[in-house]
Amino acid sequence: MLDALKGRAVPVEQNANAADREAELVARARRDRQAFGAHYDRYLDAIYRYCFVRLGNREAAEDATSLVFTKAIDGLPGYRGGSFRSWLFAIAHNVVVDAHRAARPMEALTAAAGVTDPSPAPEELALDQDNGRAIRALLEGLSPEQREVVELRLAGLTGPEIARVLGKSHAAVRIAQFRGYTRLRALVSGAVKESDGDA
Amino acid sequence: MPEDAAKLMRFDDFLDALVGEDSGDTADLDPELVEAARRLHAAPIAASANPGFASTLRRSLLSRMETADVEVPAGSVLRAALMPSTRMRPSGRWWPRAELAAMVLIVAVLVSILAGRDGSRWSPSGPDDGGFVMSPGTPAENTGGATSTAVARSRATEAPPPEECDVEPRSVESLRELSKTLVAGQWWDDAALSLRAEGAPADEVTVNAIAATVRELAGCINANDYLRITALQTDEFVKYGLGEIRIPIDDPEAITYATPGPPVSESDRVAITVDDVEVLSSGRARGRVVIRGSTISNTYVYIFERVGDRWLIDWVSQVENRTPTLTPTDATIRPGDLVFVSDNAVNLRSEPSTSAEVLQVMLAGAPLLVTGDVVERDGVKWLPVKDLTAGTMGYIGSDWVVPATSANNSSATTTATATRVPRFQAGDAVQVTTSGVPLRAEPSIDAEVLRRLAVQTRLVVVGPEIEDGVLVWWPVAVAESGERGYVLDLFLE
Repeated sequence: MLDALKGRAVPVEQNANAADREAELVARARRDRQAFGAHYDRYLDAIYRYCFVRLGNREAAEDATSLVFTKAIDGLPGYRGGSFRSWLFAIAHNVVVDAHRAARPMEALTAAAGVTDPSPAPEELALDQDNGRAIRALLEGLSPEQREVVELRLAGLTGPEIARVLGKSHAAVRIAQFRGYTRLRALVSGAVKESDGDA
Repeated sequence: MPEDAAKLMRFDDFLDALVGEDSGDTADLDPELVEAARRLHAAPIAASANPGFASTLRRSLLSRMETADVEVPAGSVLRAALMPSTRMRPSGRWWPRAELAAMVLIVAVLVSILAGRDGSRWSPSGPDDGGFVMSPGTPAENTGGATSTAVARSRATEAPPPEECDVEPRSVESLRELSKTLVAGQWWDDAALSLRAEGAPADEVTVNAIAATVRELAGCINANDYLRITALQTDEFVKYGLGEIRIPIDDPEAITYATPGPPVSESDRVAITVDDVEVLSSGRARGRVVIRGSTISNTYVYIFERVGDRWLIDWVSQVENRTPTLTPTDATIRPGDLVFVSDNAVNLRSEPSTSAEVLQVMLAGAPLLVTGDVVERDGVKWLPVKDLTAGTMGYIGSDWVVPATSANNSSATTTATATRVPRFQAGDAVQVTTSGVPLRAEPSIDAEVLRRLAVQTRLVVVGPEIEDGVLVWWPVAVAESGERGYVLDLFLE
């Protein structure tokens, strides 16, 4: 609706065609190893990085990535068109949520012992920029809702795709991402970390 | 709502463009916010997936996918998929599974038999290949001169009876243990390398020992004894077989019920012979193997590895109708040529070396552009190439590509071109199907990249398609900016 008002949502037919074409490609992937292999090659790194950022270590990310693609294969018969990337990241999102849920008791113990502080020290930010740790540490400063959206953005998804993955309205995604990036800018510049809630 | 809706939408548009590797419209946005977002997206957030993990997972998934929808009663899987018998017919849903597993030795035999069965009875054919059969009898029988060779040759084409299968069988438990671990990544590399590595003719002792292995293999197939068949294979090859055809290894009864089954009837037995045996620098051996059954004769390249006191089968590659010796194709390939990957799971490496980093695992049919001259290293002829799908530059073994314009397929290409109807016409609105698609100044893969287009960037076709070999280019204009250039057909919809 908003897009239409802004005058950029004209290619409805094109989008429909694109969705049909993607559905056709995925249908082909159900029975054609090469076709699925192409999907895998295309999305592996994005899914892996997303899992890595969400879970924080390589082993967990590899396990989650394996699970995502396994679920994708098993779920192909139920794929009903639309953005394949959205569909795949929705699976990834659920896998990561489940992984967090399974690890929660351990996290609670760690937090209770006071051994971790998610806030990055300034020197860490400077030293760790090469391997992404600094950014991942910064993401810790976001609310869960903001972080979900920003991480999917960093994985390369568009706004409508993120909305589909998270089951939210595009408008809600816009708000969360704007606040998330604004907060990240503040964190980078050393501004005071204040809770700013979400809409 | 605390934030201005228009501002939220502009920022959303900007981020959409940013993830599409476009610059995006930043008008009226906070410059500091824009810069922070750009820096955030430009910075590495995590390393790529480990190449070993990626390729292992890929193989596992493709195997799973190939068999995921196959519904075969567990107890019948082994018998149906592995054992050549008169009960098996290419009907029902398990047949694609057998086709898949044609790379696996045992299933290759199955396919051989089924593919050639026409209801007629099998008559063992004579040595009709003119020197093709190479004395595959037992060592004791093949150490003599012309007479013993003739005897051996005669024996070679006989289908060995089940009694000749007396290797100690693997246990069900050992197979279950093997199924718990994935095939070693190094094994894949070694197997692929073994198919094209230079070799030296094997001595007589080696030839005879390998011939004894394949003869016993035929005996075990004729005995319908899966556990003994796997005893003639290396652990890694067994693991590969278990993974590829997804034997229900967790159900011990599936195996115990299925093997050994009743021996195949005498008319359905197979004979297996080997020739052109070469020893490779890795210590492995390679030979051309022919499996004869019923009315057909299929040829394979086998790789053997010495384990203990005998040679075991480590890899099978179906030759089909090609010449058994894998002929390098680089003689006809020049820089600028378009080639296609000729097999699945071929590594694209960062350097012309088998120890170099694997940048990408290529599938058969992937289009590559040759970017330079052949480099010979590690006994392999490497082609510098660019993957036209992902844009990755690297090196690939020349034996694993086929030229797009070779004499073999030129007529097919011509036919395809003549009958193909252009997808678009001037004035059509199209869009880009993936991120980072290059908009080029000229309709050539070597032309300057004017900019990279984001996914779903809207374009307008401004002229007829332009063919460049097997590539098709469209002259387009970017809808929003009017910028003109050329985009490959495969990136448009």
